[in-house]
Amino acid sequence: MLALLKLLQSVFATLHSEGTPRQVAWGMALGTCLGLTPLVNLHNLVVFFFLCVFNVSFGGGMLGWALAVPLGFALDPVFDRIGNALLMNPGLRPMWTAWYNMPGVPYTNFNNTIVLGSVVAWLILLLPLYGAARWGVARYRATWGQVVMNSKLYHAVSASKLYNVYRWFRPE
Amino acid sequence: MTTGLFRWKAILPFLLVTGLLAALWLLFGAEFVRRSSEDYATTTLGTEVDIGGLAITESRSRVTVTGLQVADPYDRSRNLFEAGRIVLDIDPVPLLEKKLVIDQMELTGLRFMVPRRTPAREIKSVGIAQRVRTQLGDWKHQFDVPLLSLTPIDTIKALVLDPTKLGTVQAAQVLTRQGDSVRKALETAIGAVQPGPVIDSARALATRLAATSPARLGVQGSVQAAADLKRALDQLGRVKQQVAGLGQSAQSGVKLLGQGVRDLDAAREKDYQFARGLLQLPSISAPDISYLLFGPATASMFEQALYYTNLGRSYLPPGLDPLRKPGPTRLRMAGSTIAFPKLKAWPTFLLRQGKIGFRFGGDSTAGAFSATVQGLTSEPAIYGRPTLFGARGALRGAVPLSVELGGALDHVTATPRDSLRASLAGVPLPAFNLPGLPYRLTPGRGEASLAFALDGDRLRGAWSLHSAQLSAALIDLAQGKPQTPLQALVGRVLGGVQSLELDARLGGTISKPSLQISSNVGDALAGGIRNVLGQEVTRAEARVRAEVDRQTAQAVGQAQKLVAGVEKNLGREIGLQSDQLSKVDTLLQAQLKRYAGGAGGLLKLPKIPS
Repeated sequence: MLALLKLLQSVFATLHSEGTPRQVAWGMALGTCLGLTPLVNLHNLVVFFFLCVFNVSFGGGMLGWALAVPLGFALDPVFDRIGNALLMNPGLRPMWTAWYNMPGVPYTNFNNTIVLGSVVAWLILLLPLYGAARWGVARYRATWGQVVMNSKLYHAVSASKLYNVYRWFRPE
Repeated sequence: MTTGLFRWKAILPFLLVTGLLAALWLLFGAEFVRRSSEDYATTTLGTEVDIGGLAITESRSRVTVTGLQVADPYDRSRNLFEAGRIVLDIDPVPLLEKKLVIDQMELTGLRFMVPRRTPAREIKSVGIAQRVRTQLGDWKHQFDVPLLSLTPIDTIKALVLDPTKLGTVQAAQVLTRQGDSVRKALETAIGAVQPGPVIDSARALATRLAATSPARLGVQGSVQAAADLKRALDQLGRVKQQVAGLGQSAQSGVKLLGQGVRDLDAAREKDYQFARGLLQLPSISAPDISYLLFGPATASMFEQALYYTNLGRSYLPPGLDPLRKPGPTRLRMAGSTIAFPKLKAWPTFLLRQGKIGFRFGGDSTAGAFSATVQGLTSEPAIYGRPTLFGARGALRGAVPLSVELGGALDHVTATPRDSLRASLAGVPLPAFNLPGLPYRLTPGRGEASLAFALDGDRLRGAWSLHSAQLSAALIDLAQGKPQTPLQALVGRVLGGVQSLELDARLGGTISKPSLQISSNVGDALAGGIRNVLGQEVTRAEARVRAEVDRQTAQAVGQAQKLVAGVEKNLGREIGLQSDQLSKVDTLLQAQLKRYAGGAGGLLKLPKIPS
């Protein structure tokens, strides 16, 4: 229930933030990586760093993460097949071998089928995700945004303490 | 609202989070590594591994492990070994490549086969160790060691044979059918040849020409007579060839039937064995009895050696092909993690040199026993040298004891070769429960040696035990005494054997192993059984043979009679026809000479068919 409330809060906060549709869309596209790929990996630290220091919507990132988590679980078998096909491809073996024996790179766990498959899938989806999110946010703000903002539900959510924490990271 | 690229005020919280992570590592990193190592080792070895404590000294790249316990995968109530303290000096550079290279390992306080306070948990995860165990699951059952059959002697008086299950009867029926078939085929062939009219016609011609002379017939008449004779000879030659072919067919048929008769003898021998099996006679062969007594324990021992060798091959594979293993355990799918080794790089794991001090038997001095391990690596092809290990030590005093062990895991080339040799003296030898018997043999202290080698998939193994303190005890205390006369006999024989000499040899391949066992206990028991049962067994076996002969006599008699009939009658018939053909042929040849000469040598004599 709490998770659902948080998600709802995140959705409202993001859609009605001061960030531009572009900032929100980049945030969501980056945040999707956190949910689509196994979380405890080096590439996600980099993505998290980007979400923090680049002027994109942090809330959008959290929203993208939350929405992508169930998708990531569901698509794991697909990621496994993609990763397996790439890692066992004889043409790519010299590259994997070089990466595997390169300082630092093995800590990315690129040689795990799920990690590689999901990261590759996310990279392929990054621009389409960004485009779809940007169009969706702009469209929402132009149509339903004002109605929702005047609703009691929105005021209740935005008044919670979590919203204050979120404000640290909202786009400037 | 600004739209700059960077959000500068978020840098500080990010650095704070990073600092917090570093602090957490300093506080809980060692504990995290300890638990991760426990989990990894447990999955790797397929048995519970506990680590009492772990400390990391980052400045010296040193890890100190205390209280290591590795449970015995074959007996969860004890630890395979325990280590008091392990100090690992780690090369920090390969860590950048996520590879663990241990320059030096010092292990002290190693003890073997220590009882656990609580039984180890069963490991149900599906890892390499479990796969190796599953693959080996039925390996020792290939030896198919039956229980020593010591049924009451009275049972050998009962013999019920079902004639339809006797191979001799079936073989005799087959032979009868074959004989009948051969006879009919030859009779049909003889009927088709029909030499009678040809013989009669030729004989009439010869008789008619013999009654006259070439001079009387004149040149024209002689030429005509010679041409008639030549035609008759040609016809006779064709019939002779057909009869000769029949003779060859008859010989083949008789040869086939002769093989059938010999098959009858072989089937009868098998029937004797089958009927003997129904008697449940105890084996009185010494190697058989040794195999029955010590086979299960020996097979289990070699199976353990094979398990650890195969485990080593799974974790230390030869070659440089990508190595696939299950990914890390997490809420999401684990997937597979694939290693990509290459030459002139660090292997993923390497222990260059390890020194191990261990306690054995009643050792309280510490330092009497030591072991070494060199070049233990996950990618032997990269390291380029085999893993070597060895241990030795001795205790003097009231109970002298010595241990010597050595081995090599050579996985550098495509065909891995593993070997192990060990010899122990003055150690307590394992006790044996004799399979199917209510007795337990306790060898006491003695000498043991083991040699085991796996070259590709070829097995070589030798195991021997020697003890001069053998004792046997009845373990079926609920009954309090042996149940059958033969069990009592075994008890008496074992009571008179004071020593144990056991020698086992393993050979063959993993899929087709062979095992031979000899022991003085088996010899003594075989001798005892032979003395008591010898005459009874001989009588029973004679009765078995008589019964089999009686059950099969009718069918065999019919078959043999038919075969003899085929041989005799058809042979005589064909022989008779051949004789008649030869005689007529001679008559025709004689007349042909007369009439060809009478024609003034104008006629060319036909070539006499061979």
